[in-house]
Amino acid sequence: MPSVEVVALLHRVLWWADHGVLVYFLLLNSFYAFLLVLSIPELWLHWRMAGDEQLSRLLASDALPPLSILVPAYNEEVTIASSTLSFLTLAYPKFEVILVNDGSKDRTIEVMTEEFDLYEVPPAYPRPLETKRVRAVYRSRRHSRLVVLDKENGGKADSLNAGLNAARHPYVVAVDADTLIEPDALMRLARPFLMGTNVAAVGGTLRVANGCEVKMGRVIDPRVDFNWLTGCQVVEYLRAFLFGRLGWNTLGGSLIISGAFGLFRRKYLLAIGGYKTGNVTEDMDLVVRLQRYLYENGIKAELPFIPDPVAWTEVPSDSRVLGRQRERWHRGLIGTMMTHRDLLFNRKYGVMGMVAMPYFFFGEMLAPLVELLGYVMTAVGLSIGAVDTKFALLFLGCAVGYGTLLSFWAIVLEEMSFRRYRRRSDLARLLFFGLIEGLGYRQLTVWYRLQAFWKYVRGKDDWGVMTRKGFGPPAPPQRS
Amino acid sequence: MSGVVVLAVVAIFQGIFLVLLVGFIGVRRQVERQRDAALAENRRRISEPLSSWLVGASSVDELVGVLRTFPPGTALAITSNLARTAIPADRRAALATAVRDEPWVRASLAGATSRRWGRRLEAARCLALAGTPSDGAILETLLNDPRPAVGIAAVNALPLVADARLVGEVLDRLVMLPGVVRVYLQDTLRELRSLVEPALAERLSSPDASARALARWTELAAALELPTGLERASRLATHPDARVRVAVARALRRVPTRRSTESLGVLLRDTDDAVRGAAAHALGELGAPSAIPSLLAAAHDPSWSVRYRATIALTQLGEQGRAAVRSLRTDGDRYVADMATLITGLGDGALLDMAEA
Repeated sequence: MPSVEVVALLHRVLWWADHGVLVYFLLLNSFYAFLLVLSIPELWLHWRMAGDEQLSRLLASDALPPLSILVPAYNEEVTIASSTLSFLTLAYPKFEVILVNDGSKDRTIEVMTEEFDLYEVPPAYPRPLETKRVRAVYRSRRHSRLVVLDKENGGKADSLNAGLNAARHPYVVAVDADTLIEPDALMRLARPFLMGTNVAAVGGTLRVANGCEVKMGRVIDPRVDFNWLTGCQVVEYLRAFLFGRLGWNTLGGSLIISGAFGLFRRKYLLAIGGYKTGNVTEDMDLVVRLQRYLYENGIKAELPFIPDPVAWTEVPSDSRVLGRQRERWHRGLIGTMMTHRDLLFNRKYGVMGMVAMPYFFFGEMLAPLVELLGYVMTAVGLSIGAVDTKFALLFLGCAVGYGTLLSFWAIVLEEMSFRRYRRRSDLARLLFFGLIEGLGYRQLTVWYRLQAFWKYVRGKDDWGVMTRKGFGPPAPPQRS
Repeated sequence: MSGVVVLAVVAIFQGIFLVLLVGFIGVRRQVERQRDAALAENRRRISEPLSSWLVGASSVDELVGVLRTFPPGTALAITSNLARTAIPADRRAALATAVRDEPWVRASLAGATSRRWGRRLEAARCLALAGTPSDGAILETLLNDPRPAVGIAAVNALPLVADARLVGEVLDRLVMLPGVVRVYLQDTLRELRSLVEPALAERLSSPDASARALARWTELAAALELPTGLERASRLATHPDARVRVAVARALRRVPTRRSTESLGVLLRDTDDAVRGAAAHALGELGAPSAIPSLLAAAHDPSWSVRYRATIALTQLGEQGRAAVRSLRTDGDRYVADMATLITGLGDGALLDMAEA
């Protein structure tokens, strides 16, 4: 039997832990609400501008800067031909596609050679970034804009660096080989460059392609998948992009531009030494180093997020693959935060040091630990009678309810702006997944993210196997 | 009040809010449906009188009479779209005069100085439809609006409103405008060549003009292919600022004369590699075989981008130029030889693409 003192101490510890979790919960969710409020005028502005621009007029003009699209590919023999073709047929005046075969073990390079009639050319370009050996450089007889690099395996960051070396245009767009870019997305993505402000990078929106009808590498009918895992990710992506990242525009310190679809000024990437190999989430690390470089050199350049350029990506549809992805993402976040911990609350780095880094450190990186602590303390408290059951259940309900409210807000923003999901059945599914996301899916991702701490401590830097199903037939037609 | 009660109140509010959000989505969809239906109906109603006016089968007053039956916002939306389409200048002017005193036009134009940028945008669109030369001051304000979208919309009003003074003002402001507005402006200034040409030539000769302004005006002279402007711009080939010399090198590709080739030959030996690259590019576009010796020398330039531009330019100078590139494949300098091997190995499409970019 524990003594009275021990029980009293336990009660005190529980009281402090519970209140700590409560304060954390209130602060974090207030910040989310703040981001949401900030995102509304931004979204409205972009929506108005997107509707007002005469993109065809711009397409015919010299105003748009030439771009190099960098596509790292590893074992993509099944989809590489159609995805490369979809990149080559994007609506943009001047661009080149640099596909980097990262030592694939399958027939990726053979498929490319057959489909695009490749011929070898000498690698006559400067190579400011160190990469694994480039075995050969090819060009295509069928598509003059295509350049293919065949290199030894070195990972995604190494491939992007090889692509950066070979790029001959001042701006580069990094995309994943399986990303489906909307035809006019590049023109929309280049909009901030035309507005006269000095822009170092631009992020676009990623949406979930699972369940959508895809033809020739294009999403022709956006749908919400029936699978609950992918359905919840549709809502999660809407929330992350429509107000998560848009809200940061006003604050001016976003630390994420998605590696699957982002535009960068090449000279800045070269100045920071390109992508860092060995980091499992090369995109966040890159943006933090880029922001850091800009601050340290007194360069006033923005990294805005633009909501209307859209690229579609296939998300994991089974829990094992989702687990590996989320664990890797979180491990990358921990790695980046630990590498750049000197920026935390560092006034020299302005918004990045005082707002963005603390948010990502405490609000994102530590979130799964705090959530676990909350669950454990509540369970212990309930078992020893230190916490009232009614209170615990109501608190849990409010926490889940708040998450649902934010998800519904994201759906409202989507409805008021771009409204890709036109069918009533898709809207109903969105709302349903927004409702159930907090009951199971969220806890699952917390569990995956917790595993990242363990792997990080053990020094693991593997990516894990990411199996994809490819873009199969669409969801069954529904009456609407 | 206990914690349980507070949480219960929060939960109830959350529930109400969730229901309201769902209700809002439903109502909004319904409103959108009704709006789409109304839009389709409006399109149907305007289609016939509009086509009739465009082919000259009915008068502008009849069209304005039909527009009067629409709500103000709808009338403006329909006519704004009209202002963007390529309709003959005389019809456009006739429509502008006919709608000028309509209440919805006056109300829209009054928003030009509004604090809400949405209203200023509406005014700019309206001005593109109903502007007259007396609206110079409004147009000037709108062109300089801090919101690029307003500036873009206002650019469309230039052909209706502009006079020599305003064109001069626009050229002065063009220097500071964001890229996107400049492009729109450039396209519109094409319609006002007779007003632009003397104003531009005067500015390009001004000794007080900044380097940035001279570079922008030179770009404009090249884009509009204005002979006097290009002639004045070519005199700036020795300007101390590299930005101006780059713009001049780019502009000279529009002037196929021996003097341009000679000027570009001088720029090919410039101290700045961006100028040398632009000069090599321009010489390729001019296709003058007399430039082969200087381009061969530039193919050995220490800068990769100049070597690249010069080698591509050589391939644009007929068989003589291509033979020169082939001879470079065995050059003692490995970098020169590699570049020549790359360029000679390219297909026609790739070469064309590289020459253009």
